Amino acid sequence: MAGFDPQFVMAAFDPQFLWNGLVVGSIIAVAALGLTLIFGILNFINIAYGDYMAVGAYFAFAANTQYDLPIVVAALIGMVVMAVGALVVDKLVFERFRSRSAIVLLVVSIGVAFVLRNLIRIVWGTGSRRFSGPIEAAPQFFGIRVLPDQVAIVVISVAILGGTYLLLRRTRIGIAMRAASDDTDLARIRGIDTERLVTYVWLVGGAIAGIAGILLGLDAQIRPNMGFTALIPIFAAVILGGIGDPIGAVAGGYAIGITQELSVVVIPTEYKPAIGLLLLIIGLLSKPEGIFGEATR
Amino acid sequence: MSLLEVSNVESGYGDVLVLHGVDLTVEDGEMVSVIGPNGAGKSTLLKTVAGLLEARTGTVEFAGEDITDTPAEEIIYHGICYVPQTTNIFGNLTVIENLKMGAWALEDAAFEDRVERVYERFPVLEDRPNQRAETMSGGQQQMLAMGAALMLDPDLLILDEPSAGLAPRLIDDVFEKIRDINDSGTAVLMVEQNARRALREADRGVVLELGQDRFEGTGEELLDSEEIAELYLGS
Repeated sequence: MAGFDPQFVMAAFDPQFLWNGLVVGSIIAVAALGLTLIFGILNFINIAYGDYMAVGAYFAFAANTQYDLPIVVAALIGMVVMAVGALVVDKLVFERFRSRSAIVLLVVSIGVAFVLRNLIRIVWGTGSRRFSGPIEAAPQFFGIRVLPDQVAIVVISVAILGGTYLLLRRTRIGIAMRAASDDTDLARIRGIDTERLVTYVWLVGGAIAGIAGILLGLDAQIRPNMGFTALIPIFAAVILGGIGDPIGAVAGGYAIGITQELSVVVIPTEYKPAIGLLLLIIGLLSKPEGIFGEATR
Repeated sequence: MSLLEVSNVESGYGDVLVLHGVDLTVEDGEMVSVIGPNGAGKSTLLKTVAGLLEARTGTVEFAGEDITDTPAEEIIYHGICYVPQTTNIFGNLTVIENLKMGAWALEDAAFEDRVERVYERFPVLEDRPNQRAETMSGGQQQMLAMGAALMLDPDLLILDEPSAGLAPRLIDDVFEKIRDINDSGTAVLMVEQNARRALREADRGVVLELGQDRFEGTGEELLDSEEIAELYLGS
């Protein structure tokens, strides 16, 4: 470890990389929030979640470029389609397996993932796409390149995270979601119709997956496997935050995004995705109950 | 007509039958303690009444209505509130959120009024409305569990081992609260490991063994019976 160059350390905290990290972290945080909400109540790991993100992005893409709708309207359409879509997939597939073990549901969700991804390939082809709009030269602020799309990603993420926080903290149905995520039997004893809650959770989780996919498509490109390849950092954020803990998942998302982008100073860019896994391993070894979790019982 | 009337109920988990025909009644405003050795089916009986387990045969009637096949999420609307032994509060929710969930089945307008009454009975809750429930002490958690269950002012409160895991001083507190709740007109059906204490507090006791009700009598009768003392009270 000799010869640690101070210039090198400075470079690691280059504001440009921090900004990029904040953008990527925002996307991971939103995606992780939706995934952890679904897990909290349904108690299974939904591998198809990444493809929900892709479906949301493709519907927004279609509305935006094929029907010439403004990107904001297109994004809303993508979210609504995926909210309803997540519910439909549940009714058609997952609901039938709900009484089975989490492993059965996990394997079933891998099947759903393949089906969705290949439906995308059939409808929109295998190539990569972009939302409409000029590719602009990035304006500079204090020496940092800041793309308008990046600003949009950060702002929309904060809005989604804030909105979900209010839903979970301030509304009756949101508190009930957290209650059912804590203990389904006790929620039923309280008179909460947990089956109806599951419906709301799919709607909210699906909408969040949709917007996360759209933000991902805004930052990079829209590809059929865009969501699937994004799953590792998202899962890492969820697990790092303590599975089922929304605030933990968001914190985990930002932590992984920022670390991942800062890492390019030290390691080759191709290894960037490994950072999520590395943080996950470190997290599981040092604090298995999650960032904010307390060692219980 | 009894408030709660359990007749010849068989119930259990999966292929395992735990209750082999249990009869039990609770009258209006009465306190009934169910005692018996481990594995007798005490908790299974409560879960079956609460709708978490399905009765294979037999009937459960409450206030003259057949509630045998009523699922857990509807039981509370009949006026029964059940406090399980483990996980009887939402640990990740705050105190006030737990009370809100206790009042889920209630119109919003009545909440403030009910919460005031629960605070009066459990002042320890009023001091910490925004504390996360799982960070409270065991005794406080038990108070919250009972407080949340009382939000709906049930006709019957079902308690599974309310004193489990508590220090002796807190056990006194808990039994005092239960006495208090019962005195205000709520019928109580309780299962207790602490059999002597439970019988002393109760109007009536029922001894459950191997999934069947074996003896029944007033608390005093059961405490005075040599046979029961020898077999179930460990003396």
